[in-house]
Amino acid sequence: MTRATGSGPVFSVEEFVQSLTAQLDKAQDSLAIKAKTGRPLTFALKDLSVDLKVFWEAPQGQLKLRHAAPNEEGASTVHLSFTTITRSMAEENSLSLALDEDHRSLSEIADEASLGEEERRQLEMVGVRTVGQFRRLSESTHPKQVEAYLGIPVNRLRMALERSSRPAVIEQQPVRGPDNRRLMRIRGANLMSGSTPEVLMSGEPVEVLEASETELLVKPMAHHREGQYEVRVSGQRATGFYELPGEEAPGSQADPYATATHPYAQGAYGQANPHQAHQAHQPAHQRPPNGQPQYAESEYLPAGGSRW
Amino acid sequence: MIYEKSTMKNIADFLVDMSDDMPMAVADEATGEGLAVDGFEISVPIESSTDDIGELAVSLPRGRLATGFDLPHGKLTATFIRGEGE
Repeated sequence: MTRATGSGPVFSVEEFVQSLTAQLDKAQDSLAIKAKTGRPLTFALKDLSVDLKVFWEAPQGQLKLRHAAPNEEGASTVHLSFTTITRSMAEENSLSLALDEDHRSLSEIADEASLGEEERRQLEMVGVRTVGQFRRLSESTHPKQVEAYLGIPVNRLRMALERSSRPAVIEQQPVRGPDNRRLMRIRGANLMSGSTPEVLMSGEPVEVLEASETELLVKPMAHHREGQYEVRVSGQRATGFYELPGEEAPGSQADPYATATHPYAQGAYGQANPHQAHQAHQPAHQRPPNGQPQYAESEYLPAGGSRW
Repeated sequence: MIYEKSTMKNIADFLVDMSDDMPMAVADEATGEGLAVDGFEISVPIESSTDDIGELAVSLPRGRLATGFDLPHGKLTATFIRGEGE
């Protein structure tokens, strides 16, 4: 929500509906709580419709609403209707947030040569907000169609698709293996393409125990403490920086790893500083100013299944 | 009671206040007969605005006389149904 000069606050329809939905949830909860105070019956809100007198404004090209102020004539009427739905109905009408999909935001693969701010806004208008959604769009449409409807040139779309298919590391964390061996989990995108990727820590190849497109489990050598690691996938590479605690007696207070209930329990080290855990461990001078992990530059590899 | 407090309030509180005003049932103690309310719909003119955290605040029209400073009136229609308590 932003405040327009000399008038009330302006808000987008999307954020307004989200806010109103949360308020209606609160109303339902309040009504339900009344029933818990001993009343045998209570009322529940079934349907709600609201007519609001508003003015439409378009700051920076985005359509926004503003409530009509006193003595303002010519306001539009926005009619909103709400009805109650069940959880299963909500899930059927929501986006599938599959765990194996690439949830990086488009800004993480975009630059001015591929998807600039305007292009990203155009894609967001049709519901494409993540890299995974962008790749799904590429599998089901022709780039000329997207160019015709959204005005994004084909070469920019292809460049963005190429960037989306590069391997990238997002975070890493030490974990304890079932034999009490220290391991390291690497999370990212495009970390496997057919065969098991090659992983080097401080320039030395290490064993890859498990591999998927979004996650790797590797076995560092005993002397690995900190340094750079590298993931090589089909001739492309992604890099990050690791920092592993030394070996401690299991169960001791100094043991930085969590007690293993799962075969590969998450180490306390990874939880101690969530901000740090979400960054590839890079020396401060090598981190980009926005704190985002630095993704590797690599050569073009078309995304599997894409029609672009 | 929403009619006594004609100040802007969060729409969640406004809706709960509206349901408070409706009795669940009325009965005649002498005859033992009564009527229960299964549901009701209420439609009221409202003044609306957005508060500082972006939530919708509404009130019933607050001005008895048109002064030129009244907010234009929207409309709110809510349907309540009877639900089981504990």
